Amino acid sequence: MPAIMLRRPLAGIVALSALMPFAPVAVDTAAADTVSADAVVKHYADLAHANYADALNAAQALNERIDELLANPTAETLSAAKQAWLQARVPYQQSEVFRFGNAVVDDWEGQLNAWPLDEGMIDYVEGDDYQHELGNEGATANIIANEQITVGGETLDVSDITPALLADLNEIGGSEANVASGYHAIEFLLWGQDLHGFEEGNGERPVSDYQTGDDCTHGHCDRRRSYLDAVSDLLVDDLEWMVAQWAPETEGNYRQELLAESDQEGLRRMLFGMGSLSLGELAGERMKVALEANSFEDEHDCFSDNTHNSHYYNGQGVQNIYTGSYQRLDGSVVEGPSLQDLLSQADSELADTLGAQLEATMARLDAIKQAAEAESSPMAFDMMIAPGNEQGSELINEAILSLVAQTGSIEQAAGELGVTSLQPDDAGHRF
Amino acid sequence: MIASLRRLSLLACALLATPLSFATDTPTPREMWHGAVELQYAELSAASERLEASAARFCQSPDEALRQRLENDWLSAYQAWQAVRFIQFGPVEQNSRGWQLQFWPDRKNLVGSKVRGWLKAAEAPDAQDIASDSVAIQGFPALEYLLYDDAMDEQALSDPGACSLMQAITTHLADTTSALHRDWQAFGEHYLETPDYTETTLASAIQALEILEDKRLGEPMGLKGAPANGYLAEAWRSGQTVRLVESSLEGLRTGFLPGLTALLREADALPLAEAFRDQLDKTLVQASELPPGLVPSLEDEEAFRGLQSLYLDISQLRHLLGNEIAGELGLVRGFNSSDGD
Repeated sequence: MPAIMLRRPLAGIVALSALMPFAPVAVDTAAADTVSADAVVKHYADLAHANYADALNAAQALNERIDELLANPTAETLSAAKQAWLQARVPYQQSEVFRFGNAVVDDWEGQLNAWPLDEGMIDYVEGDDYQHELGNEGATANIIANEQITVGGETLDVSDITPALLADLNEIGGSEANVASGYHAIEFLLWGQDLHGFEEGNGERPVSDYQTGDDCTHGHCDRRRSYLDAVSDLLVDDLEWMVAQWAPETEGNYRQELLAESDQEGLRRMLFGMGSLSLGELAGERMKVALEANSFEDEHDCFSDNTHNSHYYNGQGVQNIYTGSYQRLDGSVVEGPSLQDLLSQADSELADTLGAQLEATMARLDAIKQAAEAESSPMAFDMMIAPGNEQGSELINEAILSLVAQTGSIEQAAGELGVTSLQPDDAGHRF
Repeated sequence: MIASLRRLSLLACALLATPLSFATDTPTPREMWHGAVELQYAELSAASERLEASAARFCQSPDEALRQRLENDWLSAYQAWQAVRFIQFGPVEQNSRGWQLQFWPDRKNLVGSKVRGWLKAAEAPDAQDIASDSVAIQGFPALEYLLYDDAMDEQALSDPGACSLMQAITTHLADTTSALHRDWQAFGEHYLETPDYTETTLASAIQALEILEDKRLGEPMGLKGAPANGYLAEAWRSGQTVRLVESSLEGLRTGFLPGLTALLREADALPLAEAFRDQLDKTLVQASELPPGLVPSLEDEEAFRGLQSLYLDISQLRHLLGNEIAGELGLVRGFNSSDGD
């Protein structure tokens, strides 16, 4: 995306290490009121495990609703599947804070949450309103309508739509816009294209797209049914794998690898994830680009218009890592030694500042959520970014500024905790 | 009207500007940077005004000579922007001015759809309409569409609608770059007084080289894990991709190198400054010997080898600054806006 810096003039991009106070992190666990870095990192792994377990449960529920929809395609079963999708986004969006900094997540997530996508690779689209990536041959492949597709000079047999096939097709031809699987592929299959532009309204796919025989609309309903079935199975499989990576006492999984690293490395991954999601991804890619370009093509959940919740729960995920607290879908709360506790021991003022900034960001993101979900004249994210919508752009800009501010404090916190570089360890891995 | 007001305020600003307090002896690195960048922004503003005037002349009497001049003025102004693009902080951040000048990369052809939208509009926009619309309609790429896109074969640029659109964009561009220049002058005192800006300036130049290597060359050339895709290159419509890269390198030579040299002299590491200068010069020579476009070179083995050499030279330049010099100066990188995907 456009490579323009997004920061306040004073938020230094770098700091002279010579000026950085190196606060040796206390490892004295004997004193009751002392939190150790070791315990904080271990609890971080617990948070990830609980969060992915919730994402898996919610995806299983989604998969069941989709099975019911396919068994009996009605307005009610379609609506229930959509509700389950919305619910599944709540834990998953919070888990995105684990993505940056943990290569095991970043290398895996493309199959689940890749975005923006050229949906014409999956199913029918309306030509006039369909803007796809320039130079992407897969953008109009339409797997549902074709048993063979040609991408990058290669002809592929897609007659049998299975989870394995969809996993193989993801990013085919090297384009990140060729998204065959994951939440947004399912979103497109449930909602369809949003043809309302900056106006109120989201995708209006008819349930008859899943009916059989003469009731089928838009053709190829059997293949569309197979696709939806396979893509939701794949989501469950993928999340099962990730839950296992964070499970306690599992030989050779990622959790063991992480905990075998130094405490400093663990803290670095935590802070890197918080800062990268706050600034580059959420404030930059997901809000600033869409707003400044007035581009609904750059809206995160563009089919369902659930973008406000995706942003809200991204912000919540960042706050979870700091407070060491995660509210599960069943309402119970996972709590433990937190980054906030650890930072308080080194610099209580900074710890309070960052805590307050994260609160402020959540208030800003909540204002967007409230506006989008208002009972009378709701303003969804794609309406907020319309040219000339001053109220909408102010709502978004306030959230961006708040995210930029918290990123500055996350950088300072890293300095206080002796994390000397926020660059990822594996230099070959691209962020 | 807007243009004349702008020029008046610029004049007033020049008269009122308080002289910056320069040290008696050698200027500090930040003083050198501030002064050199001010000249670059002044040139960008002047070139944008020439472009605005050129567009007006063409629209008044569209002939081949004036069109050629218009294309030249468009490229000069675009190159003046490339020269100072390594400054990614300060006034250029206000109102996303960087994106206003150049919305890129534009994977989904937002520039194309916004320009087409205005060409179809019942009434042509004025500069004010452009200012309140998408950044994708405000900058050099939108003008490039009007001048070079295949779709413009069917609609003459001299048509009143298209010409009004072009004039509105060039006026907005001249306004923006004039304000940018003025704001950089006003920013001087704060920049000079704030030691953190030394690191900010360095990091900004490092990031500019990373973008040059990875995004401006590596991705369109297909060196970043995906096949080559010429649409990811800048200025693919006009075929001036490599000329823009060259201008960015020249901009580092005139805008960044003097301050860097002063900084490394203070740190008793002058040989590193000399190594950077030598590598920069070598890279500039390589860039100047290549054809102007990138896309044709994707299909031509020998031309592609030339591009690869340029890519490697830039990669070494980035390594020198981002690793060796940054290491010598004890820089620690923090978050930047490219940390997303």
